[in-house]
Amino acid sequence: MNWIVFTIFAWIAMAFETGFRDALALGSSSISPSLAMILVAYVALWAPIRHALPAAIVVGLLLDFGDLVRTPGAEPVVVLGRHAIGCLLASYTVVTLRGMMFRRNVVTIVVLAGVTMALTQIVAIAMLKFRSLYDVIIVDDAAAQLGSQLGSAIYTAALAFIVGPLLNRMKWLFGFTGSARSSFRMP
Amino acid sequence: MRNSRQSPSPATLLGVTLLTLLVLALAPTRFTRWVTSFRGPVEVAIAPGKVVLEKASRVLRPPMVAPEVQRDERELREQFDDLLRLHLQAARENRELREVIRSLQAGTPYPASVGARRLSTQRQGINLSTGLVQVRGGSRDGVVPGTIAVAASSQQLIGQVVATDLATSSIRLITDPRMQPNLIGAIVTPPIDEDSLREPDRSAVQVTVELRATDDGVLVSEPIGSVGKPEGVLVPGAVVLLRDPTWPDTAQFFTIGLVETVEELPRNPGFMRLTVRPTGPELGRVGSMILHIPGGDPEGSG
Repeated sequence: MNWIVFTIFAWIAMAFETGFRDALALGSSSISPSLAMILVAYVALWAPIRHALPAAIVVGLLLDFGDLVRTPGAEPVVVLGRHAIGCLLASYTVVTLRGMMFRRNVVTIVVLAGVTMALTQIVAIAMLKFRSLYDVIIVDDAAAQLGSQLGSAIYTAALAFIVGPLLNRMKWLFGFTGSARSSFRMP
Repeated sequence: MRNSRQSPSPATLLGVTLLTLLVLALAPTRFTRWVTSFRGPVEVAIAPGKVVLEKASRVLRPPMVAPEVQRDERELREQFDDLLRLHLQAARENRELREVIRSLQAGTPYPASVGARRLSTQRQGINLSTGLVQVRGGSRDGVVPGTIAVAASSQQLIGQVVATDLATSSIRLITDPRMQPNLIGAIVTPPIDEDSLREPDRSAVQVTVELRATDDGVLVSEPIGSVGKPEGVLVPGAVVLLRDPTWPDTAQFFTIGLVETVEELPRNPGFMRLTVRPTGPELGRVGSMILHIPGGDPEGSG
């Protein structure tokens, strides 16, 4: 995988997360799509595992830095690692599943983007809630957050209908040859 | 024999990374607070792309404005709000000055003056998970936690800065239930109408209430006893102003909103509950704001 190209795309994805995501939010809710999750799913779908997992960690760490958590002192803090671990788990899941899927089919990236977002957020929210049991951080209504993020997972999958085919056309930029063998192929 | 200089395998590296991330994610905040200091450089690295996308975001979903047909009425109402606030602030200052004179006569040292510097700013976006609105202007501009944000086109209080980076600040909205403390002291003054213009003293009548934010973008009051309350104040359209000693002096008498509904409490006869809605567009989408930075030169502006 070409790491320079990945860095550029990760940078764009993070700029989207922080600068544009709320413009696509559904009404005044917090349900909105995540370009970063589509990128994680795409890289996990095509890159060798030795590249897919570190790439997921990088995106997860960037998401951690962009997401502040409240404390009683009113000064929000960064909880590093929760999205990174979530992305790592999601990426590993995609790497495991990709052998059974038609990777060139747009539906594959759509489904996997949704799965990636859902898994990442489940892990991230669960870790945050667990930490709040003994730490000063404040987590308001984890169930509502989870519901909102699962809604965002569906929205992310919908966005992948547009972004997925575009990324598939840029495989050569990333240096993905598509030669990784899939055990589920058409004759 | 195994070479001791052999580099670790990818699986080992991954295991070590995973362990480190687990420790960072689960260790208590007092051990991991230092991580937050790296957020600034990450934000700076992402900033160029973020600025472009924010501009596109504003084009796609512009900050909400009131309809053009209501402009004249809205402008007049805002001007009246300004004058009312200035009047209340002057009255308060007058009262405080009298107390200072009394203290000086009694030999008490004169307290240090508290001013506020105004800094114009623009909304950058909203952090959906924390509900914090990001605005331009950070620690390098002198913005500190506790700075209050007010809509640029009115006297509507937006919220309070809870965190600052080098170039940006995070604002907690007054309508956010996560605001600490979550009870906001306020005064309710009569609705602004023709009567209040004819009878300027009428605006001096006020009722003190405590408000709590809900998830619906409005604030509701704690139950208020209706006995002994002046007439014509606790009615829909009444103006609600901040009056809370836990908020900075610079925030006092800014508008929290207008009373939307007055509800009798069937289980508590003789008590009522007010619902207060901020004026203008949804607070999280207000584009232009003024930050009132405490401790600065009152004449300064951004």
